[in-house]
Amino acid sequence: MKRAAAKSVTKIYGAQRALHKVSLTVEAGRVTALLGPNGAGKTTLLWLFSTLSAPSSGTMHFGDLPPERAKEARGRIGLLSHASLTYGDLSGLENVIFFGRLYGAPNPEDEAKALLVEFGLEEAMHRAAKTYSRGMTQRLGLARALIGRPALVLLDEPFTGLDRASTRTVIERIGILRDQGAMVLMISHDMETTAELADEVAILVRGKLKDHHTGRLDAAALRERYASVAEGAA
Amino acid sequence: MNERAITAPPKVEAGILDVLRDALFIANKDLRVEWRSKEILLTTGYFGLFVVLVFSFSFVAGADKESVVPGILWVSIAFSGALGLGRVFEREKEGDCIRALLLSPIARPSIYLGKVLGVLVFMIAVQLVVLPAVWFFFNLRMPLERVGYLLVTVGLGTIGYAIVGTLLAAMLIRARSKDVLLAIVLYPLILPMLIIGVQATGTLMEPKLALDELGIYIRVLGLYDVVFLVANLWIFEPLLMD
Repeated sequence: MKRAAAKSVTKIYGAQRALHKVSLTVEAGRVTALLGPNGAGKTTLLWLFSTLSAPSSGTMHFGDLPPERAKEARGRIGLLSHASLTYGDLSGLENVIFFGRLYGAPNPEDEAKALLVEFGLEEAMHRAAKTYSRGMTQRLGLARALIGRPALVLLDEPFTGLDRASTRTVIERIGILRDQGAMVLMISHDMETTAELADEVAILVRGKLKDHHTGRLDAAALRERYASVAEGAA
Repeated sequence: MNERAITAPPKVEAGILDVLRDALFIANKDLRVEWRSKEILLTTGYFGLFVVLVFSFSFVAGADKESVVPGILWVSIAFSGALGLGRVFEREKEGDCIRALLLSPIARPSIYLGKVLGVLVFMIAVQLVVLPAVWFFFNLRMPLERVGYLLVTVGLGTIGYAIVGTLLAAMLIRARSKDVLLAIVLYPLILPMLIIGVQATGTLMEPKLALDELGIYIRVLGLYDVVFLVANLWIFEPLLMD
């Protein structure tokens, strides 16, 4: 799977229109940052890319799969959301092994351990996940998201709750994913890290895609662009 | 680990063995979580035992305890089961784990079957407490052959309960007041199974065992299980989509 795309998607919840005719393509080997104020529809768009939510109109495309078979892309998608998507009563290691088995990882135990060590959870991996701090839970969520070796990585504010060292680890990991040819779609409010990682930037405002810049921007340019688009539209 | 390729092959089309294996992973995970918290077993076991105890004192002066035992037994199963059902899916909601399960490449029937298996084990564990309690408090006498029939009857009823209840609990996972709603939608759907279960158990309490009649009841319970299992496997995924 080299490409995932939303084509003119609209998502309506009851009387609320969360997205309006948004088109966005995520390419292999590139990090696409999704920016926008609260309520802009960023998470809604991320859910559409996860296949767990279907658009009210428009189509989602995953690689060569026709839109009606989009859900076959599951298993190639890794998702880090606001919630941890892990079981509090299981240890960190048990959580990642469990999902590794569901994804058919050839050696889930070794792969889970390696991921947890990479994310600095080697000492806590045998503790119940419910005892983890916010930052540890975030890192555990990342390990869970990556155990299936996803081709499309969806990250909803991946740096929330992380200290500086953990943030650096996650930035490096995202860079490695990009180098390996993964498609990364990332929501973040942190302009510094976004500028460091993003190969392209899409800005959503009130459910509409207001700007899509393909190319790298430094933090100052990104801030300026965001201010002119998001705050200008407000 | 950084060298891990991102191009892991997706799981191929799931065969029946894959579905069963993944279902066992999920059931095993549910049992492991429960083993640590013992939350469902303690609450449902306690509740089931309490119902039997209260009924045993209510009917202590009655001359014909055997005529009320079938109802008491099945009411204990129905009420205690409903308590556990809600909690099984509540755990999937905590941490939004249900989304992680749905995003995984396993066949959707695996998730449903895994949850059914987990619920079934919880319910059987509770019945290991409730059945002896009924025996003890009502001082029942029953030949061993009839005990076998009773276990088949209760077993088929419990499987049907788990099959129907698991789907409804999944359906209501995001609903407000889901415990109230679960009871409202669950009991009408399991009522036919409960009536047949009570009738079959009543047959076993008669002085002369009517095997033909019991056979019909057991076949109807089996049919109930098969019909709902097939239907639920089919509608499970659409019910959980956003």
